[in-house]
Amino acid sequence: MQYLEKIKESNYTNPGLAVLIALAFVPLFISDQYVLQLLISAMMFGTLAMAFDFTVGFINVVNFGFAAFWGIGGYTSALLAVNLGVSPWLGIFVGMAFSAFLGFLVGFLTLRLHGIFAAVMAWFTGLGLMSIVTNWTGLTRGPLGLMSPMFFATMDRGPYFYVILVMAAFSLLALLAIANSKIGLFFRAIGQDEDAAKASGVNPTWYRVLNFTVSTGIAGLIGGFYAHFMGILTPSVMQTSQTIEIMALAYVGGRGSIWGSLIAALIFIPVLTYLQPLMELRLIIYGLVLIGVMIFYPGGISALYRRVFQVSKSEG
Amino acid sequence: MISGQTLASLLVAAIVRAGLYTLSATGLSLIFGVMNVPNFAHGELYMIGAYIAVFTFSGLNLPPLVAILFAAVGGFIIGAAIEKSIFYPLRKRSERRKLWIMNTFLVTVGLSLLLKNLIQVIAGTKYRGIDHYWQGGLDLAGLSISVDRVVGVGIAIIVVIAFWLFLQKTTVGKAIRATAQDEVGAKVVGINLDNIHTLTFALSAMLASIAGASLLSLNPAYPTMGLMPLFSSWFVVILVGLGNIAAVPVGALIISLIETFAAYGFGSGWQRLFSLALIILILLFKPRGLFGSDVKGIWER
Amino acid sequence: MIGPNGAGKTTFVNVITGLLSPNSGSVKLGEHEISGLQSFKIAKLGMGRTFQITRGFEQLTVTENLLVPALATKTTSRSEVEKKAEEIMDFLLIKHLAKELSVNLSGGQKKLLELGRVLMLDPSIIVLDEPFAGVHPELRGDLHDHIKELYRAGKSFLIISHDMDSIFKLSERVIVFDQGKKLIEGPPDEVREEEAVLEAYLGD
Ligand SMILES: Nc1ncnc2c1ncn2[C@@H]1O[C@H](COP(=O)(O)OP(=O)(O)O)[C@@H](O)[C@H]1O
Ligand SMILES: [Mg+2]
Repeated sequence: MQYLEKIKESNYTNPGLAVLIALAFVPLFISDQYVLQLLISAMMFGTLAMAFDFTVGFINVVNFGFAAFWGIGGYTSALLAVNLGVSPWLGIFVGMAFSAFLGFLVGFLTLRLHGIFAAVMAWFTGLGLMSIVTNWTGLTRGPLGLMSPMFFATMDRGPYFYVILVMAAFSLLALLAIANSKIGLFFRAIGQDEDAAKASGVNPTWYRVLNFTVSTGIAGLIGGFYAHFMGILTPSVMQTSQTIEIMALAYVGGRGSIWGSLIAALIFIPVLTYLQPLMELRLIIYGLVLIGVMIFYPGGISALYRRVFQVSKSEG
Repeated sequence: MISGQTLASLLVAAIVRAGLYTLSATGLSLIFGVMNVPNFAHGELYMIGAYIAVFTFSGLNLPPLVAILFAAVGGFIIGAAIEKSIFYPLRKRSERRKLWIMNTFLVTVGLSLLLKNLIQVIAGTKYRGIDHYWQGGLDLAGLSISVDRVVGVGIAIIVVIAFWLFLQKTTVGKAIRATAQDEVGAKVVGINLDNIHTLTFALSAMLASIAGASLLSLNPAYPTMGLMPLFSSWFVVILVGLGNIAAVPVGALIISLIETFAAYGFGSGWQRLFSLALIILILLFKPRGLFGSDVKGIWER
Repeated sequence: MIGPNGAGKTTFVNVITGLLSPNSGSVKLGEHEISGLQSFKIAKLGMGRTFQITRGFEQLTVTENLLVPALATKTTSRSEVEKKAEEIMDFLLIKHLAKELSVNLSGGQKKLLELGRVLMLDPSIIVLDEPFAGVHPELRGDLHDHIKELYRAGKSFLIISHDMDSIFKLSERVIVFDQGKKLIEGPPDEVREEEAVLEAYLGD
């Protein structure tokens, strides 16, 4: 029995965490900036995909406007730094909070919607946010791009590597902790049958909004990292195609596992970026993989792992 | 105040826009209704039409109407191929109908990526436009409108009416409508669902393709050109109600009027925010759309 | 409660359990006015229900299914909740399925699980919408026994069914419902007599 305790234990034997711990040693042996850059990118997208999975894999809502929250976090932190001289180290948390606040509102907008209706609502509110950022050129400079101060004075990728590693580990542990608590159980109940959840005394309003707030908060935090890592932001980070890339990773990783998204990103991003000269090829592969997974193996990487290692669903 | 002259030209612009929105949104609504597929790759079918037209018109130097006809036939064939190679196997494999809608949505997201980037491999990222299909302009209420626009709207109206008649009068059209209303019932009376699905997707692709081809002189062909028609088609379809084909022209007119006047009043770029705000309000308060439709139950899954 | 198909029985259940709000009239649970309350609050106040078409959390295990209502409504410790889930699985004879995903259960087992979820709420009144429809006769007997035992333990029941035999066997009071209205209410014997008169009219 002791279902909940058992899962808790598995937080620390989780494949995602094991991989992150192993990654912590990489910069000690590899100083190739290109490799570090790839891994930073992979951890960034992996964390975004984990936060995306936290919504789709649990309350079963496709947040198709997800990339907008990533952008909002980045713009908030960058604008604070540029206009008010706020330190990026503080700004990223303000960006996280603002993004979470907007996510909270979108959580309310999608509250009574399910399936494609909820996805479309999230999509259109995301497009609305992007449209504001694009057109409010007095503030954001629109498509010209907003220069944003860097975290570190050095060009070395090493320090950035550890910042995103900490953020990824924090997100993984926080999301798993929630997912494995009774809150996560309620999320899944609501996602699988909202009426039955209500009849069981679960308040869907509270849990759906909570879920959106947490997921978009993490997106905002990673947006802040992106702003002060890249040094420039354009509204294109908020595009639907960014959401699609994140969503593809979450689906390939396997919905409802959280860690599967991270693993998928760590496999796909380096391989596909290696093919970067052929940008189209990378996206064609994403397209094919998404179609293939949906048709042939909807469980994704985490289901494969469970099958190979014979881990029961509640433990994996 | 808007002068009479400006008002007239804004109205003409809105009507032209509405005609093309109708053409592309009809196809989207059709596959909603019949196949329960929320198609994210609809804009790419429009893009395919534009590329076929530019190739036949500028490349092969064939007359404009032939180019549009080629786009129609090409769109139809490609649509049929997509249905047979992707949706058919998916339908055979999904035991759980409950997951069908969101699964197919994600498949069309993948399909959209695939088509966009395949075109980029084949034709590059260059804008491929034409100056005009037909030379000259027409005088309409003291307003000069290019012949291309007039013919574009004309084609949209003719195709939509022809398609409407096809659905209402022909046996095949009736079979399509029957499938949209009740798939099990349609099967019982001996309609071959596989064929109906393939035909529906092909027709939907054909309509989008014709829209892309007719508008070539206004919107040149490039790989990501499908995004704008995708948005507008989705706006229209959500506005009037998913799967409600009959009301698509009304929705198209509402959206185009809003966008045209908002762009005039607030500067182009902001018009999108207005149609988005309207759609968000619709989703909040009338998720079945302005005119409702019976299919919402299925759509919520 | 009995009544022909389409009489509005399920709608009635949805109204009293908060899934639909009434256009007029009021619903009281004990002295609580509950009309218009959201269904999760009504569940917390002690009214549990099952659905005509069995509902549940398909990708959760049987145990997890049972934990949801208790964790959502009770403040008791986790280990107590888990003990209770075990007791209920014992009572419903589904202990061997504890770790099975509920999607893999048979139709009858799903019905038992749904009843189990209701019991985890510790309800004072249990509303069952067509609990015997499509249930194997053997399991139907088991269900009767469970209901009788729970009734003896002090639970009230409102049972909606087409199955006259079950209703008349189990009930203290029978309500005949048609066209959204109560036609007759009384002890089974009385209703059975009037029932004969109504038979032609109800055509059921
Ligand atoms: N009081 C009512 N007023 C109007 N329509 C009702 C009412 N009660 C039920 N209905 C309608 O009657 C139909 C059948 O109701 P339902 O509750 O499913 O019947 P039953 O469970 O008795 O077979 C539903 O479409 C429902 O909306
Ligand atoms: Mg009923």
